[in-house]
Amino acid sequence: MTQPVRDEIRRVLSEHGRLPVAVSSLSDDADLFQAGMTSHASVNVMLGLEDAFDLEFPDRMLKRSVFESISSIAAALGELAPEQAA
Amino acid sequence: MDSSRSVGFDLVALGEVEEAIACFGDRYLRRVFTEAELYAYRGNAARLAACFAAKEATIKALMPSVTEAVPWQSISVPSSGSRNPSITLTGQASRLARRRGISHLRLGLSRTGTTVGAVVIAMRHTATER
Repeated sequence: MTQPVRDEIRRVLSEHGRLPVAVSSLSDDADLFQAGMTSHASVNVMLGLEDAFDLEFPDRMLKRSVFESISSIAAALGELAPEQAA
Repeated sequence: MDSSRSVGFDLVALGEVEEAIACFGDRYLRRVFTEAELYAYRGNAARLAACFAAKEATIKALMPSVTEAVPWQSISVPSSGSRNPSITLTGQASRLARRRGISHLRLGLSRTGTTVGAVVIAMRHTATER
């Protein structure tokens, strides 16, 4: 995934993640739930990502491992983008 | 620890639900809640927050693996405002409960002016029950 994609993920996390720390202070592999993201905030992040990237997370991706870090979100988006463009 | 039971707990701030409704509206509601829940709660943020907390507490009590998806729609709590709220499982949540041997779920809810908490106790079949 490109840097602009990761930057956009960080923007969505800043807007909807309700994290008690600055997103800029987190590494791409930092555990977002350990950093304070709640289960409900992850729903808002998911919907924000869908708006930002014009895609939809399928039921099979509604799991903690997809939203636990910027890297895991980027990997899921990378999987979804070509899948939903097909 | 008693292996015949597992416990799930979740806290939801009402502000999170209000933000989701304000930002994402119907798309949020229909993604997370069942038709029965939407009919029962009619956009009441406090009751929707209780319902979501109950769903998340249920997921934790079912103990899915970190790679296992449990859609919120497969857990229905159409009575979270009542004195005896109940949980109904369908689809993936129901399959996971069967795999774990869970036969009963008990839900407790509590709230302050800003936060709702839910605890779910999942009880498994015992040898004498089988």
